[in-house]
Amino acid sequence: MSLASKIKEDDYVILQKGKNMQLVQVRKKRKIHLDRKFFDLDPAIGESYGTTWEITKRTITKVYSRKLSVVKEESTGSDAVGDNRNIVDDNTAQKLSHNEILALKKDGLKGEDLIGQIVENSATFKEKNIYSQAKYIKKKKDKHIPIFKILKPTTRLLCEMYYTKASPKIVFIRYDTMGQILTFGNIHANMKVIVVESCMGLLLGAVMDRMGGYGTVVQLYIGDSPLRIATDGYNFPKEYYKTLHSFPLNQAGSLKLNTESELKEEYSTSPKNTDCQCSGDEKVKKQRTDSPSNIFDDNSPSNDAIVLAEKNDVMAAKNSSGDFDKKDTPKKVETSPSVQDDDLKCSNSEDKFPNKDALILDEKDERMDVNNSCDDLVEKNTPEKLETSPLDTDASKCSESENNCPKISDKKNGDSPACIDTDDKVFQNDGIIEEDSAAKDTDDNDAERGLENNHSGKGKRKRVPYPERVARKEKRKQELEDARFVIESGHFDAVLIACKFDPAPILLKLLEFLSPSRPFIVFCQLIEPLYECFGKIRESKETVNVKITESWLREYQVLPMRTHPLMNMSGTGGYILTGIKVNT
Amino acid sequence: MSFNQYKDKIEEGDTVILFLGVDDTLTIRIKHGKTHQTRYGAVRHADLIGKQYGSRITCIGGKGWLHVLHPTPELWTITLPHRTQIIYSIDISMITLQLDLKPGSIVCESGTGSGSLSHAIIRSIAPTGHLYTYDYHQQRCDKAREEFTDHGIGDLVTVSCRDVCKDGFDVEHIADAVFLDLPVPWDAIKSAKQAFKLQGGKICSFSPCIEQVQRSCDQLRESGFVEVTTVECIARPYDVKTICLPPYNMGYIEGSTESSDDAPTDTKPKSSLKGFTAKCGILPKETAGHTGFLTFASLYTE
Repeated sequence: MSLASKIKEDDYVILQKGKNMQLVQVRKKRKIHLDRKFFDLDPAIGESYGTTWEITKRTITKVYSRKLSVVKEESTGSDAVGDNRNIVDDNTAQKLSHNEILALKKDGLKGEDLIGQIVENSATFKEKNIYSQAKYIKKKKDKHIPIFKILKPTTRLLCEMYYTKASPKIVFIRYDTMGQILTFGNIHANMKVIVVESCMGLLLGAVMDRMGGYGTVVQLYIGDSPLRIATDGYNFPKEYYKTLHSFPLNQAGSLKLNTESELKEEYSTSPKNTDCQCSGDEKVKKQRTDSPSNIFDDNSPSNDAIVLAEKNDVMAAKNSSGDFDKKDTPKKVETSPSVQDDDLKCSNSEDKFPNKDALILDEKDERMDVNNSCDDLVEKNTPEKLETSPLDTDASKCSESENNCPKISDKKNGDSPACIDTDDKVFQNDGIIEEDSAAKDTDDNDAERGLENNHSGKGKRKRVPYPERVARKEKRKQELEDARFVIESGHFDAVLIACKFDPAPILLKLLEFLSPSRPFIVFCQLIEPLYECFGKIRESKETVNVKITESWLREYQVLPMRTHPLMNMSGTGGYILTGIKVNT
Repeated sequence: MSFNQYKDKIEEGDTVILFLGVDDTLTIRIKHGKTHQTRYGAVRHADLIGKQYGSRITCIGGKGWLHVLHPTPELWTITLPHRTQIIYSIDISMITLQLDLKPGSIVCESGTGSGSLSHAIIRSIAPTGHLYTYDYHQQRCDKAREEFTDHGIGDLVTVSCRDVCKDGFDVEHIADAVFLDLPVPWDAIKSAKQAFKLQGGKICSFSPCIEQVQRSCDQLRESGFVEVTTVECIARPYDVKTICLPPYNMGYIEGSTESSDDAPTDTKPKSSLKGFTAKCGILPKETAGHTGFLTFASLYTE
């Protein structure tokens, strides 16, 4: 645990400067861009999370909180002297001009001394009452002292960051609503959950975080491959991903609850049933080792045969359901345009993003340096090639590469599922996109080796052998079949849906796989789709305790004599429909 | 049966939730031979044993039926016997999120009260975490301890009868999170700081009154906590109804341009006027307006 509180290389961290947050990966010598300043995070490696840093000439130095509290605020006391009767807003109060302040900064004056200068040169400062003085100092500090905090990503921070920067990308889930989804879904260790989301893996990450690597998560993903940029932000250990299965939602129509397996489960295929009989730690261990390996590890003893047999069943079922798939095509057609939309949007937003180019340029520079040192300046464009090559060659594997290649040329206006994506412009100036690209690198095992490998490994890259790709393809196929098996064996303990498509058909389909007496949660930015959902599940009489709620969240400023709600609050955090499945 | 592990079938000794309708639930402990009276008729415990959770049970007397549900901390919160004012699920969800509770977290809580939040905390930190919960009321401690054992989560929690404001928490440097629901939380903050792991953690204080919040915030800042934020979170429950607002006949003269759509007015005089029909979400006339202020703060090392 103590190690977890230290910043490590390759960790994703959140840089917080005021209200502005940014998710970045810590890499040696990687240039970070925050608030129009470039710097690297090298000095932070090995330091604690929650530390404060000041940006100083392309790098950072640690700031101790003792130093930060310059002007001690006179606490309590109604003797607020001074008022604004003589303060005239004529822009003459501050005697230092902008250029003079810049000059002072250049002379090396910084931090408190600079603020002191500014305060001294303010003609009106002394006339203000102590509260406006404090506010004035705080404002100037925010402006002139470039400090930020390095925080460990948590669900709340990630959710808040995405909500402020790119809320359409996480379908407008506010953090309080996210908390409610997890709580009312009764998400805990050792359970089996289905997640359908189009929020870049944020909900998935939140669920995996709460399950702590115990149990099974199935992600029914939207599009051709799961998008898990936000999930990466959690820095989950690799084992966590062993509990995760993914299956495309556009094939969910062909899923059937495997009732036969229930008979077999009586004699112990399902980890769930057996687990109920054992107790305590044993249960945990069993679940931990058993449930994933049951599916993944072909060497797992005893029940191996049964699993295989069942797999065959499933395969047979799948073969016979060939035409079932065909029947399903209209549905596919229906979904695909919007999926493409999605892709398009991503690529668009990346194009729009100004900093991304800068970032790449920077990286290129660095690589050039490397090349220089190797006296290897032959091909100037190699870095660029390398930059894109993993994405190209692994198109089959690397999910997000889809977003990179703008294969759809005509802008599908639509945003068909409601007006969920109305304010695209939010994307323009956010730092998240930059992260997207970083995430892409790491998401792909091959690209993970980072900068230094890029020049040495360029030969290798081309050699990515055909058989390897075939093997990879086979592996994917196997994983898909495994996921299908996990879903079709049912016994799910929760169904969570937070996507930008009509939730009703998805929910009705997934309720098949949910055990009775288990909760389901549907999130939607708008309430109207939930009315339909509500009506449909009430008809089926398979559910009780169905409720639609909206969360109302208000933040307060609590300071002596100045306590009040914040002047701005979020209008809505979306709506959730909750309920419990029962037997009829 | 355990609050942190689902199972399929009801057994002797289980705590189960009888669900009669929204906001009409009760909890019973299954004991062979016992019978429970509900407003829909009697339910024999023996009849429930062996049934799948989620089953529909027809009551003896045939006045109606109910569903028997697996307990969850959320259902427990709405059915538990109140020994104090309790913390409800909306606030619980916020506390769990902001304290960043997950399997393995070590949490200190005071006071235990009726155990509403305790159950939710234990659910989230199981199977490897631990909850230390304190209350200065002996009887409440005993009762809570008994409930935790009955609910199969006794080994994940330590209940102590102790006034943390006066005597402090009896643990040092083990907690990832501390939760305070006390009349005078500021008196417990210093000792709460001692309970935290050396690497720091998150603290939350729940207070219904703003004066309490003000003093707590001051004390938190003074004790070295940072990122002190106070929020209030309330759920607005919508009832879905199809509503129909009938149109009003404003006496347009037949054949005039306005009523050209409704040309055959003489054949169906009234049905031609449609009015407005739609599914609507209706907020209750009166709803929860305040539960308490939640103050969160972080402690970091340098």
